[in-house]
Amino acid sequence: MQQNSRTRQMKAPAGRLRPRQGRKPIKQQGNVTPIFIIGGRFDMPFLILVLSLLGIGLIVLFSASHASAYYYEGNSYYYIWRQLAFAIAGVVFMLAASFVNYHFIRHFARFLYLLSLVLMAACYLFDPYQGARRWIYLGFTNFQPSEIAKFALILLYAHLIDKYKDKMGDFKIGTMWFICLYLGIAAILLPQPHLSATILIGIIAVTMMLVGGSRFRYLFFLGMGAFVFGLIVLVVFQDFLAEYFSHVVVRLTYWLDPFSTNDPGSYQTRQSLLAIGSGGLWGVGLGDSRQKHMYLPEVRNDFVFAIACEELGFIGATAIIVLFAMMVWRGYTIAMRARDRFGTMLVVGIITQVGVQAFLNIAVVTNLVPNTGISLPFFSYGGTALLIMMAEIGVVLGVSRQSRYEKE
Amino acid sequence: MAKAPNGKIPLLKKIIRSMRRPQGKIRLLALLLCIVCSWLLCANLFKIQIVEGEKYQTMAITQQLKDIEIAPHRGSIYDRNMKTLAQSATVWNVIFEPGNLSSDDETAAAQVDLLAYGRKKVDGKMTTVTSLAEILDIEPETVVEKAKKVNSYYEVLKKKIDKEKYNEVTEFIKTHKIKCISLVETTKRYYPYNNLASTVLGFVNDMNQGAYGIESYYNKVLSGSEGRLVSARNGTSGDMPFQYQKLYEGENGNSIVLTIDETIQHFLEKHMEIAVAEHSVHKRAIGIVMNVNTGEILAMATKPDFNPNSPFEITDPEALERLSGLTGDEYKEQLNYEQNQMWRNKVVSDPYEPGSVFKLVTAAAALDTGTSTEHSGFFCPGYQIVAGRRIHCWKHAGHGQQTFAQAVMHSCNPAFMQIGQNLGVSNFSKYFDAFGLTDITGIDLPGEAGSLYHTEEKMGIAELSSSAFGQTFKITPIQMMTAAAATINGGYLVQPYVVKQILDEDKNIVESYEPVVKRQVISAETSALVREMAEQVVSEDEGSGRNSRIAGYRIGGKTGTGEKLDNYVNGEQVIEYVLSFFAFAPADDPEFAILIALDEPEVGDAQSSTIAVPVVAAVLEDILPYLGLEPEYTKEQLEEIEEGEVVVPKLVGEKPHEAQIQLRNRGLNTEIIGKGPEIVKQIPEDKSKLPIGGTVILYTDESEANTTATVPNVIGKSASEANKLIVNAGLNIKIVGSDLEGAQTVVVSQDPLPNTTVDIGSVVTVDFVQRTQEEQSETP
Repeated sequence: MQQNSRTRQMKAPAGRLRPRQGRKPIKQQGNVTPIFIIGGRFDMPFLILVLSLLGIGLIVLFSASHASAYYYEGNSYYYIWRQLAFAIAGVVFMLAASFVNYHFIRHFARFLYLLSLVLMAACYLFDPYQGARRWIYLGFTNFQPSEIAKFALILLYAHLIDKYKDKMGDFKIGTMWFICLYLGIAAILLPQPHLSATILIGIIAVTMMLVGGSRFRYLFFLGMGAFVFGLIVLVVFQDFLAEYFSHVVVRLTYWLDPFSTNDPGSYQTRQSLLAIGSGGLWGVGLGDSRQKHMYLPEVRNDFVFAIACEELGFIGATAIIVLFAMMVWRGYTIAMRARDRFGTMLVVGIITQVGVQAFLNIAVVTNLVPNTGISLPFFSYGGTALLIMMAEIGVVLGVSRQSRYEKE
Repeated sequence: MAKAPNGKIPLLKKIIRSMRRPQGKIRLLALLLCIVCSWLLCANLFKIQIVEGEKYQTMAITQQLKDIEIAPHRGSIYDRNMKTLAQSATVWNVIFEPGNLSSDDETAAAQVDLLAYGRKKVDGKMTTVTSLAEILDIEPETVVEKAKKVNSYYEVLKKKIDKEKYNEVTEFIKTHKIKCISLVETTKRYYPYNNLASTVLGFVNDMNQGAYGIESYYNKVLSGSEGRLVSARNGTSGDMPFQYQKLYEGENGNSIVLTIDETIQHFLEKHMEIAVAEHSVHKRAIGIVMNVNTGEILAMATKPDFNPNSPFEITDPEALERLSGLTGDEYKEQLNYEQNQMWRNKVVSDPYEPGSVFKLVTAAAALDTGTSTEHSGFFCPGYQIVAGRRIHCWKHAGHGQQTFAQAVMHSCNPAFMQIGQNLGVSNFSKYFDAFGLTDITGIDLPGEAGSLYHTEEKMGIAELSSSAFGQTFKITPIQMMTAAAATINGGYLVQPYVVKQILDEDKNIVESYEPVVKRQVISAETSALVREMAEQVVSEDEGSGRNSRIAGYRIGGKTGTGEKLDNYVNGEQVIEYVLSFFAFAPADDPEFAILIALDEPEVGDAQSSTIAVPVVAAVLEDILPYLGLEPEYTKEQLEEIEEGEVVVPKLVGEKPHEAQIQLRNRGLNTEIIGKGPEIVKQIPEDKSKLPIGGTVILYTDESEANTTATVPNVIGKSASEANKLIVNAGLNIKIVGSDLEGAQTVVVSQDPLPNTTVDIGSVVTVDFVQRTQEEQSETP
C-alpha cells in the first residue's frame, strides 16, 4: 500500500505529464516580460480543430447566406466574400496573437475592462436597431462592444485570480470583488437590452471564479440570496411588473409550444424547427436547403446552424457538435497544462466562452432554451466578432506554446 | 484521510478531493460541456430530425411548395351540324394572399389601403390611383375585411375575370409591385345560344363540374383529367431563383356531338314558349322531336327553363312572383325549389298521365293480338260502366257506333275501355312491358325516372279499363315518345339517345353511338294499321288532330288530355290536365315524331285538340321543310295555289297559334315574332289580299313590332329571281300584269320602289311584261 502510494506520487508529475523535451527554457530578462515569444510549438490538435470548424463554418455560411444575398443584395457571394476576408484576417490575427507573450497583455487587463465599459456605454449614443442599442457604428462596419467586454472580463479575472490565488477563499476578495466587476458590465449591458450577453458573461464569470478558487458555498448562498431577493421584489412590485410578466409568459409559450400560435414572435423558432426537421438523417444535401429561401429569418447570423442541420442532416449536425466538443476538450487540456495559473485561467475563460456560446446557440436553434440572440462561433456572419474570436483563440495557442507538459 | 479497507479512496471522495485543485474543476467543466451538453444537443437533434422529422418535413414542404392545379380544357358540346352549344374559355380567379402582406403592421396597412382604396404614398405625398377593388368592381371593404386574415393565403376576391380584366390586374400588380395578389387560371363555360336546350345541356358549376344534363352525364368525358404544376416558392411566395418544378400533365376533355339539331330545337322552343305564354302553363311544358327509326333525339325542351350562362338566375315570371315577398330562410327554401324545378329536365324526370296519346299503344296491342280488329265496332253512349262505376267519355253526348279507326279519331274513352277489356289484363301487361313502359328508356341523360303502373297481379277490370285510355298510371314523356314511335315505325322499340359522337381535341372521332333497336314489339302490318288510323286523326275532319293539317304533308298524330289524379292542393284533390299531342311525318313512312305536352295550362274545358295540336302544327310547319321533306301537293291543292288570292283575316287579339290555324286553313304561311300571349300587330293588315302561300307576320310583342325590311330592287329580274329576293327580304310578293305563261318575263315596275323601308311582311307589287315586246310601256 505504501508502495502504491509512493509510486503514485512519483508517477503523478513525471509519469503522466513531463516537461516537454527539446523545449528551450524561455528567457526571462529580469522582471521585464518579453512582448513576443518566438519559440515553442502550437498545440496542433487544437489548431486543426479550430481551423476545421472555421472551414466548415464558412462553407455552411456560404450555403445559408447565398439565397438571402441573392434576394437582398442581388449577389449570391455578397456575404461570403466579406466573411472570407474577415476569416483570413482572423487567421492572421490568431497567428499573430499566438506569438504575443500572454503575460504581456496582462498589463492591459484593467485598461481593457474600463475601455469595454466605456465602449458599451457609448452604444447608448447610437440609434437603436430593432429596439436595442448594442452596436457601435463606425460607418464601414459596426460591432458589439460586448464582444470586447467578454475578453476584457476574462483577462481581468485571470489576472486577479492569479494575483489573489491565496485569498480566493476569502469572501470579500475571492467572491464579492469579482461579482462587483461582473455587475459593472451587467449594469451597462442589461438596459441595452442585451440579456444574452449578460447571461453568457455571467456564466463565464461564475465558471472562472469557481475554477479560480472562489468558495462554492459563497456563490451558492449569494445565488440563493439573489433568488429570494428577486422573489420578494416580484411579490412587492407585482402590479408594476404585471406587464413584464405577461411578456415573459408569452415568450415562454413561444418556447414550450411554438406551433400553438401564429405570432410573429415564434415564427423564427417554427421555421428553424421546420428546417432542422426537414434534414432527417442525411440532410437534403449541401446547398439544397429550402428554408433558407426567405423562410428562416437571420439565416446567416444566429440561425445558421439550422441550415447546417437541414442540409447535412443529423449526421452532419452531430459531427459539428462533436467537433466543437473536441475543440473545447482540447482547449481545457491546454488550460490544465498552462505554465502558470494566469494562463490556465485565461484559457479556461476563453474556452468556456466558446463552448457555452456554441451550446447556447445550438440550444436556441433547436428550441432547447428560449429564443435569445446569441451567435455561433466560427459559423455566424459577423466580421468583428470573428476577428475577436480568432484573436482569443490566438491567445489560447499562445498559452499552449508555453505549456509545461506534453502528453506522452 | 479515511481510506477504504482495500486501500482505495472511495470514488466520490476522490472526486471531491480532486475538486480542490483547479485541474479537477477544469476536468469537471470539460466533462460537463463536452459530454453532457453535447449529448443533450445531440439527443434533442435526434428527437427533432429523426423522431419528429417527418412531421416537420411535411409542414416545411407544405409551405415551400406551390401546387397549382392546371384545369384541363373542358370539351365543347356541338349540335349534330357542329354548331357550338357549349364551350369553355380561359378566365382567371383573383386570389388575395393576406399572409404575404408585410409583417410590419404599418406597411401592411399601406398595402391594403392601396388595394382597397387606391391610396398610395409617392415621394411622401398621398396620391390616389385606380385601386384593385375598382378594377375588379368589388367593395373596398371586402378587401379590408379579407386582409385581416393574416394567416390565409387563399382569399378569392373575384372569380372568372376575362382576358381584358386580367391584363388590367397584371398591370396593377406590376406597377405597384404587389406581392399578395395572384391570378389563377381557370375556365368559364359559355353557351352561345343561351337558353337553347338548357335542360338537356345542364350547366357547369363553380368547381367546373357538370350539373344536370349532358354536362353532368358526360362530365368525365368532357372534363378530362387535371394536371398539376408543383413548384418551389420562397418565403415571400416568389419563385425560387433555381427552377424547381414538376409538371404532371393533365388531359383535355373530349367534345361531344349531340343528335340535337339547333334549328329544330330553336323552333320547338320558340313555339313552346309561345304556348306557355298563351295558355299560362303553370307546371311547364315539354317537347321532344325524335327520329322514330333510330331514336336520335333531334330536339328536347322543357319550358320555361334557364340560361346556363347564369344558371342561378330565375327568369320565369310565375316563379318570380312566388318568390316576391319572401325573406330569410323561406326565401332561400323557395329559391332552392324554383332553381331545382327550372333545372329539371321534365322530359326524362317527371312521369305524367299520358292520357289518350297512350291509346296508340292500346290500339297497337289490341290489333297485334287480334282481340280487336280494324273491323270491330264499338258503341259509345257517352259513358261506360266499369265495376259498377260510370266512367264518362269526354263527349258526354257519346259518339254512337264507331269503327276502330273512328274510335281512335274521336279519342273515344268507352271504346277504348272495351278494347282494353277485350285485350285482357295479361295481354295488356305484356304489351305494356314490351313497349318499354315498365323500364327506363336508358337515354343518356341524368335523372331518368321510371314509371308508376298497375302490375298484372293487382290489375282489376277498373284499372285495366282506365289504363287502356292512358289514365291511372304514369310514364315519362320520353317513355311515351318511344312507345308511340314503336307503334308507327314498323313496330320497333328504339333506345332514345342524345349523344351521337365523342370527339377528341382535334375533332377526331373517339366514339360513335349507333342506334339501338331493343326489340320488335308489334308486327309491321299492325304498325301500318296504327299509322293509317293515326293519319286519319289528322286528315279527317272529325279527327281530333285536324288542326295540325299542313298542306302538302302527310301527318299522323294522336291527341291526349291526361287527368292528373294525384294533384292535391291543401289536401283537396284538384283536377288539372296535361294536354299533349303526338305527331309524326310522313304518315306513310314515318321519319320524325314530335310530342308536346303542356302541364296545367289555363284552358277551362278546352281539349288538347285546340291547345296542344296547334303548337305541334306550328313546329311542324317550321321544321318539316327544314328536315328536307318536300311538300307533295294534290292536284286540287296545286290548282288552289295557282288560283291566287285570299283575304287576310283580322288576327290582332287572338292567340298566336290559333291565328296560325286560321291562316293555314286559308293557305297562308305564318311567322310569329315575339313570345307574348296574344297578337298585337299583324302585317299585312286585315282585309288585304295575299296570294296563296304568302306569309303573314304576327307580332306578339310590341317592342319587336318595328322590325323593318328594305325593299330589294327586282326590276329587270325574272319571276323566280324576283320572288326569291322579295321573300328573302321578309316581304310578300304580289304579281300583276301579264300572265306567267311563257316564262321569259322580267319585272318592269315595282311598288314600293327599291330601297324603301317597309314593315316585314308587307306586300311588294311587281309588274311583268313580255321580254320580246318592243314597246316597253309602264303599267300604272
